[in-house]
Amino acid sequence: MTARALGGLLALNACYLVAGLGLIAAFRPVLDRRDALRLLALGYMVGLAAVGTVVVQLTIVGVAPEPAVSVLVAAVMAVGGATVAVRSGGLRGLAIAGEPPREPFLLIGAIVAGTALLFLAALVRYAWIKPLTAWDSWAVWVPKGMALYFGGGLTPELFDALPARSYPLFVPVLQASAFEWMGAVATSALHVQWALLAIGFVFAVAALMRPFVPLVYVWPFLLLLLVVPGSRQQILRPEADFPVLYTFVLGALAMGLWIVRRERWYLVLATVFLAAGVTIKREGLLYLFAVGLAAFVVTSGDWRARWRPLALACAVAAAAAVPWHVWLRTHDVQAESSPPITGGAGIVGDVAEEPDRILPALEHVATTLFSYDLWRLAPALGLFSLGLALVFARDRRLSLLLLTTSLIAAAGYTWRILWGTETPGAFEEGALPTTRNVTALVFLWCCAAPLLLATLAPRLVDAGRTRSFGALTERFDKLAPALIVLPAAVFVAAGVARGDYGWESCERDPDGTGPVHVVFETTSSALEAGPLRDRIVALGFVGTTIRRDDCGRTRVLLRWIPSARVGREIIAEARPAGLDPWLVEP
Amino acid sequence: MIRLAVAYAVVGALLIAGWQLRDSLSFIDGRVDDARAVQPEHRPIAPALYLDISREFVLQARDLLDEDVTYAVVTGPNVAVSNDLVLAAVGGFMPYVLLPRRQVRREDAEWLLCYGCDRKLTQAGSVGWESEGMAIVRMRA
Repeated sequence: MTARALGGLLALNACYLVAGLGLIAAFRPVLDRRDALRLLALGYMVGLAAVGTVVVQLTIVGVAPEPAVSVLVAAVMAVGGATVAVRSGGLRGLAIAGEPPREPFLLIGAIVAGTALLFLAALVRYAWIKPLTAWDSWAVWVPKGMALYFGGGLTPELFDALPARSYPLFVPVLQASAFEWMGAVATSALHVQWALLAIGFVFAVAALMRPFVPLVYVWPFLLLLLVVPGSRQQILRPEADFPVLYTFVLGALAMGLWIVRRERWYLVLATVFLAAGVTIKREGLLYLFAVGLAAFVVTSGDWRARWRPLALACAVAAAAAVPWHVWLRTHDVQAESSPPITGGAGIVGDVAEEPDRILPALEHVATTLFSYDLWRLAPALGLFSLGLALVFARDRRLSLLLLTTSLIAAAGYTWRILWGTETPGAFEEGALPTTRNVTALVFLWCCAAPLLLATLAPRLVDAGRTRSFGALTERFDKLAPALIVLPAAVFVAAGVARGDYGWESCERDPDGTGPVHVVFETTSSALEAGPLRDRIVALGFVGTTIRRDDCGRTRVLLRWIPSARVGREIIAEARPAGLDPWLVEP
Repeated sequence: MIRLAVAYAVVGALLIAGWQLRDSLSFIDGRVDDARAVQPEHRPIAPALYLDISREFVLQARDLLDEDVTYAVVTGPNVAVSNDLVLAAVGGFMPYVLLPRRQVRREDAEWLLCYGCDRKLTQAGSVGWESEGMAIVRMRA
């Protein structure tokens, strides 16, 4: 990680945050400063989903995912959202309004939240120096991001030679945007971007549930999800599995909250997240179908009032997938390694002809979903909460939505296995995406569990309530924010003091013996390098070429100059031409 | 009874998370130590270290091939490999290392990256680098 790369990544993510906050403010009043703080992570995830989806569509029509494009899209969303909010009186000032709502065991909840943030800080420390090694990352996802970056968009010359061409573009576009902002193909730094997504996701889930679910319900489940082996193995991989999972879970939760609370902004959130999902991975279409169909089923009692907004939301989300499918058709690209999600009767017919494979496939999904080695007891606890809500809650709409969504998703995973294998029972994980798929269900159940449990005791959090939950804990409740932030802050400060977050060295000074390279310039964009090289060659420095350094930056240079002395002579010749080269060790 | 069941779920999640936390933190510490052991100049080609693809082969390819050329990777049994994955992975790994250079069909390639291939295939070209069954050969300009 270099300072420039970190700065670029933070600036890109700031664009997402600003855009998301603008969008939220357009559809929901921001009540006070506490409310605005609570919405930060949710705003970040909404902005990521919305800006990312729009930039994907622009890339498909031929616009390169350059920094200016992200800034422009984010600015339109932020300014547009803020304008709507101001006109509708949605921004009510940033004064703190009244006392925070009381809730039981706040300090315990804050300590668990602080522990989760501490764990996320440990993940960032790892992401800071982690080299990119996961197979699908270097074989599929990152080369596509690199092709977009080097080609200045979707150039068939670079893209056609890569595997999995039909996979949706959100993740490669996000990676290419990150490369553009970092000014380098800093593939290792993508782990930091994925760590930021993880942080944004868990705090966005918490934000969705506040203020009506107590912290002590929310954070044990979120911490559990972070620390189980199945998550820690996958969460930093710069691939599409976790981003699509994030949008699925946030979309399903927002849809559930819209059904229960009838506030329009939740439906907007669900639409944004589910639309992003279909541009991230083909499973996104399955999740849109699952959540949309489940929402139609659950709201059938309120059909007249609900079907129009719901149908519009589903149509808008599905429309996000259309440009990419049109591009695939017009470029004659066939789907590879996964079934077309709209496969039609042919595939269903094939499966129906082999009923003896259905049960083993279903069993494979179930055993992976409840694998103790991967998830410990997380899915069991999530399912237990879902079962409790189904049996005992007065309002069962949320639990029914999640149950129906889960059943459709599980059926989709089973179908994927049946399509992807030929031998009954021979379901080897290496050839199938089952673990990556079921992660989404484990996350959905555990993220929804606090909300479901809260529906069993709906008056747990109440701003107007004066009854004490315990005089002793109440006296210390004001410590809660410090308890959340301090452990991670201390961890990071100690890491900085130990040198854990040092800057990467991109080039080495020549040691005085042996050959050297003369670097004319390091360019912030790969597309700038070609014309610059041509200009330098035209000045007489024949043999000038383009190579990347250890940090992924593009350099224009003369290589393998026999000695530092000859290198210095070249530098002296170049200076009158307005160039300022330097020597580096090869 | 419902409140008790709710408490069981929350406390259960808390206990399992607490028990798993230490294991996960040591897992991450171990991975941090592994990552620190990788030399800075090898970080961009880290998958080659893990798969045991020849580092020299990869670094020479990065050095010899200009950014606008085409290449093809041809593998074969005429090279010592430490595991079965090497030959299967090398063709898929090179785009990650060599982009924006384009991987094309062997017949169309300006450069041939031979990893244990039949050397008759490279006879028509000029050798840029070769070692122990591997070669990087310029077939045409």
